Amino acid sequence: MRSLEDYGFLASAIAGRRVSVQVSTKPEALAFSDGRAIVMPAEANVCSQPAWMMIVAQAALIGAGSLDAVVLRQLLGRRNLVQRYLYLEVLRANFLLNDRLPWAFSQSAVLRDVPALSHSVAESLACAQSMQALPSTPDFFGTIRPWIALRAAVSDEGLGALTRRQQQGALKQREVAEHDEDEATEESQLLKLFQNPFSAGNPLSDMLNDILGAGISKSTQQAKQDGEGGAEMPIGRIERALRRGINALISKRSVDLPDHQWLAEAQTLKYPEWDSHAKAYRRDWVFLEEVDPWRAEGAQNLDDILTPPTRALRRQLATLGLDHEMHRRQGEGADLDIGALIDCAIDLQAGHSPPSPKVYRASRRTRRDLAVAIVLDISGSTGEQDASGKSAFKKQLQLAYQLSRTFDSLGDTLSLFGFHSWGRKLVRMVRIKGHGERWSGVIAERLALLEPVGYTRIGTAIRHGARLLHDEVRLPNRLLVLITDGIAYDQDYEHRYAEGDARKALQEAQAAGTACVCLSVGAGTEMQKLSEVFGAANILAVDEVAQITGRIREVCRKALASVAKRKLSRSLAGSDKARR
Amino acid sequence: MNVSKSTAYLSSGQEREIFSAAAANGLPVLLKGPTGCGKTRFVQAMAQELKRPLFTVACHEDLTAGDLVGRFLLRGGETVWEDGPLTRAVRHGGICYLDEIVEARADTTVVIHPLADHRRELNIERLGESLIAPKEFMLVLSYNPGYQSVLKDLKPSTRQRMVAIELTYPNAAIEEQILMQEADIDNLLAKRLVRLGQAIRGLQNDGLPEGASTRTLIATARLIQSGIDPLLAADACIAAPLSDDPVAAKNLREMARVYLA
Repeated sequence: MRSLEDYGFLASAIAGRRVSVQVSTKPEALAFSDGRAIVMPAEANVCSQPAWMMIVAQAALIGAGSLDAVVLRQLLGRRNLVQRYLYLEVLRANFLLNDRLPWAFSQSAVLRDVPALSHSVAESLACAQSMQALPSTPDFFGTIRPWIALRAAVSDEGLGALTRRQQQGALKQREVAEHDEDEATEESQLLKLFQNPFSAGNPLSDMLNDILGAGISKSTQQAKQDGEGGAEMPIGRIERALRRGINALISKRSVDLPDHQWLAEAQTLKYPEWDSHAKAYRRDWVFLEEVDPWRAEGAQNLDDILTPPTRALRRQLATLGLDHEMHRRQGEGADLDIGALIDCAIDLQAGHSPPSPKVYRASRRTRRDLAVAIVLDISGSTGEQDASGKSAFKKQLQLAYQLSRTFDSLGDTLSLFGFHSWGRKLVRMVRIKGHGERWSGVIAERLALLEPVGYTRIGTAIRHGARLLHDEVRLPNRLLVLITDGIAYDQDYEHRYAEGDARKALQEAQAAGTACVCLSVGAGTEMQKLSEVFGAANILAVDEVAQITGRIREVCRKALASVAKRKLSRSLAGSDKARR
Repeated sequence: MNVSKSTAYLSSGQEREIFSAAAANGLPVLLKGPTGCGKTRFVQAMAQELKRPLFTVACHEDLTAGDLVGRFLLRGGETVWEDGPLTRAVRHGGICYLDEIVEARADTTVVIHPLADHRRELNIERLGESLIAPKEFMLVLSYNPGYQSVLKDLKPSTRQRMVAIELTYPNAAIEEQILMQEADIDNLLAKRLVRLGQAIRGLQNDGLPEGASTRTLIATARLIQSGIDPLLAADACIAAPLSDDPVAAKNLREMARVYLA
């Protein structure tokens, strides 16, 4: 059976980045896009030409950068202008991306031999605003819904943008009872962060005012009248996160926020953090404890998730981290195995027959020397469910389970940790499997006890994972696998600070000879930032766990190779120095 | 754009000129480029143009120095020396082409070092023999920067002996010509196939480990030319080989349907 969703590659290929195709649940007449997904009208016939033509047109718009926020703001609520702009932009995209557009599309009656009338979005906008007569926009171009595209941009920023504004004091705040800093417990500080109410009754409109600039509220009203539901989407996310955060604080056993003295005595590890603003480390800044999993509501049923890994995945990972080993008495090989050869000669002389023909020595890649630490993001944001009702958390669990099963069964040294945090004083690494531990049913049980709560302090998780690999396992090939749904967000830990710290933590790990890769499943929005931090080559983002199979080996191999190369060049430099 | 008579190769840049100049000066050549962009075809075409025999070695991770240079084999009760392809190329004054050189181990590739610099000699330590390469001998390596294996990359000392020629997939106009020439298809079909190929290459960082190479496009075109339905041909030559993931394959199939429509 064919469905519109199968046009995802088509859309991505033309758009030049990951774009999915969705079918609208509401009655829509025309296709539109928010820059990440192309939404098709429900009644679009899959086989009919217009269905894919719409997708191509919309993807080309994304590829040509037509959904530019500055322009979109000018288009809000101006239907006529939108259609004129759309026409000009499709012509421009057709010209710009011609080499990769389907022939049948470029040769359609509307586009054949029609030159582009503009060379940039700004020119298109100016032309659309002018009095120049343009042909009417054909239906297969779809449409542009400026409000929806803008909203997607906002919800991408979401929580982070809001908090940044808040910290800069750009949001007006109602008076809140001030706590004395010395007396304030972590709990009250954290609650304060979330409870700061915003000035107006409608937090969304305030936030949009702040993010998009003034003049939007009229369009907000319009959009609401137009019946474009889901307008509270970004704030809904915040509220959910907030609720989870507070629940986590209230739940006594799950998080007992420790105070300073207790921290000093308890078995708490201290990690530094990189302050990218001050360009310096903050020593002993983050407090981390290793704990066992516990869940307020008891274990969840993971039978559908903990499916055994496929043989394909095993094949993929089997060739990682292998080293050469000399094998004696081989049937073929580069060298003669003198011992075997003598035996053979003796056999011949003594009349034993037949003598063994295995008289060669061969070097084969069979020795496994890979240590893997899988670090799993179990912060609250992963618990959010996507359109299909599956949460990133469950997908990540499944991925972690399959990877760890596979690595373990291949004989690699493996550890598996979950991590979440509530500010710098409480970063938790939830131990699911230690390096020395043997695989058993207990590990699946521990996975079932994980709960997605808290926030993401990615740098500390990387440092801890890398330290465990480095200190506890003395193997030459070390791989840290980070499974997360997005870049860091924690109290006083976000955006450039968080990215700077994460990058620093990665550099530290790589300098110590540990390769790091980042896997993301079912989370698309923050990949841009993640790939800035990790480097695009060390990231693998997929929608479903099964898709990772074909690609994970390359990602891991590259990461391991770059670390090994660095080690090699350092040892060469060292021997050069020694020679001098 | 020149087309040689027997093994056709259509240049996209100055690769012919560089290769010929390197050959004339006894310099080794390193060909870089993604799979199926024409590295091997280029070497074959140049070997014909220069009228030199071609000795090809497909490198793999178990390739040892012995495989290249030669080894003693047991025959009856005695050991017999047998030349490897590198030694044969030196003795006969041919082009030795080491395909996918990174796949071979770094210590293996070191045997080519004396051949790749001003000495131009091959030391066969097991025979205690040293061969001086004749003027016609030429060393060509190829290498796909797209996939590097764990712990393996070309040593800087190997790289720096080489004249590097970077090959990429040809641009749309040239690729259309190649398809028409190789598979004898008409311009319209070539245009459609090339656009499909270009679009799939755009997916590379995202959905697929590798893009559709010129080689896969030629294969598709040939199947179509033999009377296979275009969609079936695209499925067999592009979608199925590129990905085992059923979702990805289905998506590719839909792409082919759109582009070949």
